[in-house]
Amino acid sequence: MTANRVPYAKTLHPTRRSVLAGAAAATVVAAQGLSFSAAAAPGSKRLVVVLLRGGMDGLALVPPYGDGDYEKMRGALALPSANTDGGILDLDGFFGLHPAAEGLLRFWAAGELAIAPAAATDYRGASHFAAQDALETGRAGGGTDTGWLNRAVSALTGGTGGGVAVSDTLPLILRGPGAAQQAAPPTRPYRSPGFFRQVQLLYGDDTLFSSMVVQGERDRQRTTDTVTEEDVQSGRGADRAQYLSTTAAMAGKMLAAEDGPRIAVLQASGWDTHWNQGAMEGRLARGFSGLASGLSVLAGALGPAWKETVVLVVSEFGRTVKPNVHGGTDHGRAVAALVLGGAVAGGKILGTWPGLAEGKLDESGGIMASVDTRSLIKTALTQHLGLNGNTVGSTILPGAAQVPAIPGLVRNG
Amino acid sequence: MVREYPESFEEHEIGAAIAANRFGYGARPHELEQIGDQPREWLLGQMIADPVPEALKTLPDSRDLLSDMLAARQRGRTSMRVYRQEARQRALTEAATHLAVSLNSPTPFVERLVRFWTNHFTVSMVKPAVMPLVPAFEREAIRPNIFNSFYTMLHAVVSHPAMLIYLDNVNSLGPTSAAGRGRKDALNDRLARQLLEQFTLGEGSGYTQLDVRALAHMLTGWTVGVNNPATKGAFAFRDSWHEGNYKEFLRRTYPSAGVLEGEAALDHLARSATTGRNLSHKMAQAFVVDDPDPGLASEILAGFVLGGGRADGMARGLVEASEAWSPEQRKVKSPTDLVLSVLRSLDIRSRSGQRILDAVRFLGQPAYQPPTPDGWPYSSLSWISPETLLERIEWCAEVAGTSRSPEGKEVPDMALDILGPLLKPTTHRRLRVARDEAEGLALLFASSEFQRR
Repeated sequence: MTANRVPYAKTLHPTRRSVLAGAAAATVVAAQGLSFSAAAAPGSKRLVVVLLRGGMDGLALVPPYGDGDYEKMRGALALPSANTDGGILDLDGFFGLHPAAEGLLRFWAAGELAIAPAAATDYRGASHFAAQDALETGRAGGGTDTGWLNRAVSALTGGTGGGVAVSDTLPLILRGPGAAQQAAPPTRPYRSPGFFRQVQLLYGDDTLFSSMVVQGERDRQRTTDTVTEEDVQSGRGADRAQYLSTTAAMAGKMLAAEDGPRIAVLQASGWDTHWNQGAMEGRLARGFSGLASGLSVLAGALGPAWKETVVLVVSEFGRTVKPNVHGGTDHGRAVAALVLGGAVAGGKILGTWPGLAEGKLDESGGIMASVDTRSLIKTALTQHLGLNGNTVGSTILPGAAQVPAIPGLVRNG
Repeated sequence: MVREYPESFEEHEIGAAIAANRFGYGARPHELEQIGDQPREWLLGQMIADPVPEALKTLPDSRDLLSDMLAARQRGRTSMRVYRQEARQRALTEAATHLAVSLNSPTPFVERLVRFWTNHFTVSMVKPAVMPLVPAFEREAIRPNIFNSFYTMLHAVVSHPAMLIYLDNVNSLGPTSAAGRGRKDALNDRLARQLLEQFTLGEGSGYTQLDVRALAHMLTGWTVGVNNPATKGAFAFRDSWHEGNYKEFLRRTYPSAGVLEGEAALDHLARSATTGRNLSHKMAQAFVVDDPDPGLASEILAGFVLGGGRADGMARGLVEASEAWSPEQRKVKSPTDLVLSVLRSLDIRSRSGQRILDAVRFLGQPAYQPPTPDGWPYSSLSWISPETLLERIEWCAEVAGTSRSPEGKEVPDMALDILGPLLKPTTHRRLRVARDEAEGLALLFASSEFQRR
C-alpha cells in the first residue's frame, strides 16, 4: 500500500471544534497535518468522488413522479406527488427530489447540479463487492488492483497535491502508484464496540431509556432471510451517510488549502435497504438528509474553491423498482448519479428516462441504464481536470474507450 | 483535578438548573452561576426584552414575499417552478437563521415561548402554497405578540396571509354571498374548525358543528389581496365573498357586520375561560409534564385571567407555579431542544444556523415543517423509539467526537457546571472514568439527565 497514514489524531485535536462549526470556522482543520512532496503548485481544479456503498435507491432520491407507472410500480414506497402537501420537491416537472434531501435543491436552483437518473457501469450482477470494484477500477471483472482515480492522479502533470480519502482505510478507487493519502476522521465513540451497552448501564433505573436502547440494538441486528453476509459488509467500513458532514468538512478544508490535494474521496454506507426502508421518513430518508447536508457542508468548506469543483456522487447499483415483502428493495441495476459543483453546468437531467413499465425494466427488476457512469467520470477527467482524452482512454479507463464524455456538462474558464 | 461530586447542594442551585434546562434551551458554561439564587427573576427579567432580535428585523416581510409569488404565478408554470425552488431555499435559510437566533440568545425562555406559540398556531412549509411565508409568519404574527393580550396575538395570527392560505380560508365563500351563491362547496371551514379545536376552546369543550359552521361564515371574505395594489400580498376583506346573514355562535347572536363579525368572535374566544384552560394545559404540557395535573394548569390559568387574557400573564403563571419547579425531569427533549442544548453546553454560537437546521431534520423535527396543522406533539414518547433513540445518541456522540469541552474543563466538571444538582452522582462517577474526552462528552449528552428536562 502506498498510502501514508496521516497522523490525524494529533493534529486534529486543537481544532476539532472547527469541524463542527463548519464553514464559518477559519481554522483549516487538516492542512497542517498533510504535507505533499509535489513541488509544483497544484492546479485549481478539484474533483471529489462520493461513493454511496450498498446500492442506493435512486428512485427514492430522485422520484420520476411524472412517470405514469411511478405510483403503481412503487406501491407503498411511492411518495406523494409534487405540489401536494408534504410531497416530492419538483425539479423539472417530471423528476423531483425526496423532501429529506431538500438541501440539494439549492444546487439545482443555482444550476450547479445535474442528475443522471439511470446510470450504471458495465457490471451486471448482484454482488456489492464486484459492483463496487467495477465502479472503483473502472472495469467490471477486475484485472487490476488500482483505482481509476489513482491512475488519474498519476496522469495529472504539474503537481496536483495528490489525492486524499477521508476514511479509516484507503478505498480501492484511490489505491495504486499515484500520490494518495488518507486522513482518518476523528474518534467516533459510537463506533467502539459495546458503546450502547455502556449507555444502557448509564441509564440505570431510567427504564424507559434503558429498555429502548436494548430494543434498538436488537432491532439493528435484525435481518431477513434475503440479507446475505456480503450485504451486511457492503459498507466496507464506511460511516453511514448520516455522518457524511464530518468527513465532508475535513475534505473540503483540505481541498480549499492552496497547497492541498485536488482530488478527494468520501464514502457513505447504509444504502442496502432490503427491509423497512421507509418512504417519507425512516432509515433511507435519514440517509438522504445526511447526504444533502454532507454535500452542503462540503460546498461551504470549499469556499471560493467550490467554483472550481466537480463532485460525482455514485453508487455501485440501484435497487428494484417494486418493493419487496419486507418493505425494502433488492439489488437492481441503474441508479441516480449526481454531478454537482460550482464548475458544473447543471440544472438538467442527463440521459433519457428508460421508464418504469413492467416490460421496460432490467432483468434484475431495476431500472435500465441510459447513461454509463464512466461517461460521467470521463467528462470530469477530460473536460474538468483537462486530462488528455487518449490518456484517459488508454490508461485510466481502458475498459471504457468507447464511452463518450458528455459535452457541455462542465463550465470551463 | 476533577471536582468531587458535592455532598450537598444549596437549595437555589436546583432552581437555577431547572430554570436553564426546563424553561430554556439548556445552560451555557457558567450560566447557572449567573442565574444564582434568583431563577424566577432570571426568567421574568427576560420578558422585558424585545422578542424580535435585530437579526430578524431586516428580513423581507410577507407582503413582499407574497407579491413575488403572485408575480411568478402570473408568468406561468416554468417561472413558478423556478420561483418555488428559490423561495424554498430562502425560507430554509431564514429557518436556519431563526435557529441560530435561538442558540445564541441571551433570553432562551423567550425563545422557548416563541416556539411554543408558533407550534400552537401551526403553519407548515409542507404546504407548497404557503411555504415561502412560514418563517416570516413567526416573526410577524408570533414574536411581537408573545407578551401581548391573547386577542392581539390571535387576531394577528388569524388575519395573517400565511394562516389564511395554510388553512384554505383565502377561497372560502359565503354560501349565499354574491360570489358564492349557487356554487357547490363554496365554504371552507378548516380555519374555523382549527380555531375552536386547537387555537382557543379546545377539542371536546362543548361547542357544536353549528358553531364551527357559524364561525366559518363569519370568516368568509377574510382573504389575501391579489390585484388591488393597496392590499396586494396582505390581508384583505372581501365583502362580496362574505356570508351576510346574522349568525348564532356559542349561544350568542351576531348581526351581520362584515369584517367586524370575525373580530368579535375572536375577541369572545380570546377572553373565554375555556380558552384559558386549554392554553394553560398545553403550556404545562410543553414545559413541564405530558399529563399535567389540574393544579399546575390552574396556576398558569390564574396568570392568564389576572391580566385579562394575556399571553405574558400565562408565562408569568408558569414561572410562579410551584409544580413547574419539581426536580423530577418528566419531559424528553424534542430534537430542537436537544440540538440547541448540546451546542449551548459546548458554548458554541452559530451565524447561519445551517448545521442546526440539518441536525433537527435528521433527528425527525424539520424546522417549520410539522406534517399536520396540529403541530409537533407534546408527548415525550413521540420523540423517542428504540430506533430514533439510537440515532440521537449517535448524533450526540458524533458531536462529541468533533468537539472539545469548553475552557478545557474535565467532562465531569463541565457536566456539573451545566446540569448542577440534576446530574446524578452515578453519572458523574461514570464520566470520571471515561476513556477519553470524546467518550465522556458522548455519555454526558446521552445521559437521561441531559436527554430529559
